[in-house]
Amino acid sequence: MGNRDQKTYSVTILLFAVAAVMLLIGVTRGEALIVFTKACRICLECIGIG
Amino acid sequence: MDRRATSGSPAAAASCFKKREKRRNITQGAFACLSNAWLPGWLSGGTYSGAGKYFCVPGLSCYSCPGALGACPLGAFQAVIGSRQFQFSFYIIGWLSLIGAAAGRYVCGWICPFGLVQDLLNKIPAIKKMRALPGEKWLRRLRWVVLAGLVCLAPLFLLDPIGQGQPAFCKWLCPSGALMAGWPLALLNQAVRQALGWLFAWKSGFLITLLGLAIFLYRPFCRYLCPLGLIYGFFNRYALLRHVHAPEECRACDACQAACPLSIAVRQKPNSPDCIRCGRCLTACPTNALKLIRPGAQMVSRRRSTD
Ligand code: SF4
Ligand code: SF4
Ligand code: SF4
Repeated sequence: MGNRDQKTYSVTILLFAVAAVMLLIGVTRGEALIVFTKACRICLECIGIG
Repeated sequence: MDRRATSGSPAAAASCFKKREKRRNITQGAFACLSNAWLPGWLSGGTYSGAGKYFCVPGLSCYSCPGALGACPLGAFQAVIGSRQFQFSFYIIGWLSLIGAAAGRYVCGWICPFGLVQDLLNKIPAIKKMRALPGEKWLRRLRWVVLAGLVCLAPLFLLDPIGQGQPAFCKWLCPSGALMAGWPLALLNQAVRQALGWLFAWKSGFLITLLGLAIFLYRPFCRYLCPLGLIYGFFNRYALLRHVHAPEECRACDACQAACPLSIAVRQKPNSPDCIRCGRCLTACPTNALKLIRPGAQMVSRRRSTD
């Protein structure tokens, strides 16, 4: 594997790590609950009423 | 299957393209059905409210679709930053980074239901198919305006009397919301039907215009307006699933660029942010100089262009 490919894979791994940390922060702050509450109801804006 | 479509007869090449397109459309269809498979919703005109709605689906698939089993990442992002508690969503950026780092715009080519709808419409024979619209370069920049203005700024600053931000992308523009939620619910749910007004008319008109344009031009919404595709595009270069170009195997025939429905200079930019990963260039390359690399796959060449 070339140096350049290795570097690109390091960025990929870093992105996964950042994603995991962000998800964790988001869940602890209670963002997932807001997503759940919004997604369970019919969203009036989506359908073009609200 | 021999992926090198242009190395055989024209008939063999056409059959290779057809097979790949069929495989892609079946995968897209399977994802669209799976993520919208809540049957009671389709029968009653309601929505699913189980644990799946904590999680985001990868593509632009509306969470108000009667069959939706998960949340739409763009709708969810606007809901979080438009709420009174938060101005930023770690949760949704985390989701988008996770999906982007794994697949980049393979989501657009192989998963997103609104991509599938545009793909199918483009198969309808038309007298004149267009490669691009005049001012293509500038039109593509509209995605930035949509992302910044409608998805990020409006939910933060356009507030209703109780301090909730407006999900302006969902409300004014999103054609997936109109197609997958607005139209089915207008048919299935009487209360919704009675509440329809000018906003529904605007969204439906916009959707019909886009769908009509998609017959003549490949994926107009993805090219010019979709903020989700714009976001996943940043990941194309670094995603686990990405393309490589081996200059030493390349004849510089540009069969790849000719096959690309988005006219990308594939040799120079195999991982262009505009690439929706349809894979036509991979099939078109006569020498197999363009490849998809998967995690753990053996590199066959040392000198590769991954830009
Ligand atoms: S209207 Fe569009 S952006 Fe909004 S939730 Fe539905 S699909 Fe997502
Ligand atoms: S650009 Fe947007 S609408 Fe098009 S396929 Fe990608 S996510 Fe779906
Ligand atoms: S560069 Fe290749 S995979 Fe990307 S859109 Fe063009 S033909 Fe499809």
